[in-house]
Amino acid sequence: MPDYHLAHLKADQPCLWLPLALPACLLACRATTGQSTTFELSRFDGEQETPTKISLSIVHADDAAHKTPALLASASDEWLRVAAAIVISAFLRNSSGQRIKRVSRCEGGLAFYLDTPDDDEDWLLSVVGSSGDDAGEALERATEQANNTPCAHKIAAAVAFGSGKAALRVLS
Amino acid sequence: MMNYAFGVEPWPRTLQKSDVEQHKSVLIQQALLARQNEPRLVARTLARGALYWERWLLDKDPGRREQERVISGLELARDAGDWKEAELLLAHCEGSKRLALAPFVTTWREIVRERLPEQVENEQRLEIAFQRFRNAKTIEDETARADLAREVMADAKEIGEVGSPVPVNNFLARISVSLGWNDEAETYYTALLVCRPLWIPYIVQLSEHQAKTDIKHAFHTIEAAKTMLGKDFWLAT
Repeated sequence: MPDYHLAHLKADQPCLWLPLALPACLLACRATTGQSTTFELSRFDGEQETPTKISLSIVHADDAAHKTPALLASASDEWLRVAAAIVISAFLRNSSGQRIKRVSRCEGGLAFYLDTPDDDEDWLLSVVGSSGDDAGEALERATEQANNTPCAHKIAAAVAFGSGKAALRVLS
Repeated sequence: MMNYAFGVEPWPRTLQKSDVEQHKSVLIQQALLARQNEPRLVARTLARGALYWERWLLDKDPGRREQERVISGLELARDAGDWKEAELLLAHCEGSKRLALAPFVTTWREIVRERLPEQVENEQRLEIAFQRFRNAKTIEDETARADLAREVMADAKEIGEVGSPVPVNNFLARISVSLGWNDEAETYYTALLVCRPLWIPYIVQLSEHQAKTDIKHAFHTIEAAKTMLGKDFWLAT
């Protein structure tokens, strides 16, 4: 099972702001610094019913803990979404080399966009993070959000931090 | 280089689009955290900064990601409480073949129509508060003058909870300067630069203010601005 070290995030994904990203991931995973959290991702391409299963282990960064109290006071949906974006982008980085290229504001929160070999083609990563166990339900919400956002290519994704399950559907 | 609040920098590394995208992305995330954990004025200042760069990208990279940038800009205008900026984005939509008839434009037009008068009213309240402070020049008792300053600054910060951070930070900077509160003045001048990072008078104001207490710091600001805007940038003022 491949590892993704969040300590490398700064060099690897400069559009993510570490003082938010690292503690968000730590809190969502209920982990401590230096610990690993394992995820199993179900990847659906298009209308595919049977997913491809991929496993990945996230290694939390050592300098993530000091911001967690501040984050705990904030709206959990927002930082759960950030944490889910980190986990999903770690999967994508491992499988297709894609990373988060920019972050925009959209109705209800943040919108993440992925890079592509062809700079003209935008990929929206519509992502939902849930503290529960059911990644399928969260994926439905992410799909609905993606369908309401105009973009040439879309990926809906969700992470259920309660169970370590993640799901991703390539929509277009 | 200067920074604001918890290490926020007003400028990207360069004015290359990719660096600006990265800087804007980070500001959006910083504003998200600040919304819950910092005074509202800080969160609004960061959202206003992100909005500035979103509009910069819309202008410098025309026709690309137009809808994404406009929607992001409108949401940031709402976060910042800057409805005048939202109005400018809607004016952009009216001139755009792709966006003129988009349903979100109609929805936002209605929101802006409702909220803009409140912003105008808040700015008038700020100006009245500043006049009240200026007219108190005759108060010789320094303590009484400082008390009055704190009172009007509290009014301004209250407006900063709901209104645009540009006039509020401007007001707070002017009062801090007039009372010789150098640290506060530097914070508010830096906040203004976060809000409008390429507005040369703000760069000049900040560096002039820094020069009063720390000339090296002032030089750093000027050097950083030169890298961004060219070596004779202040001649444009």
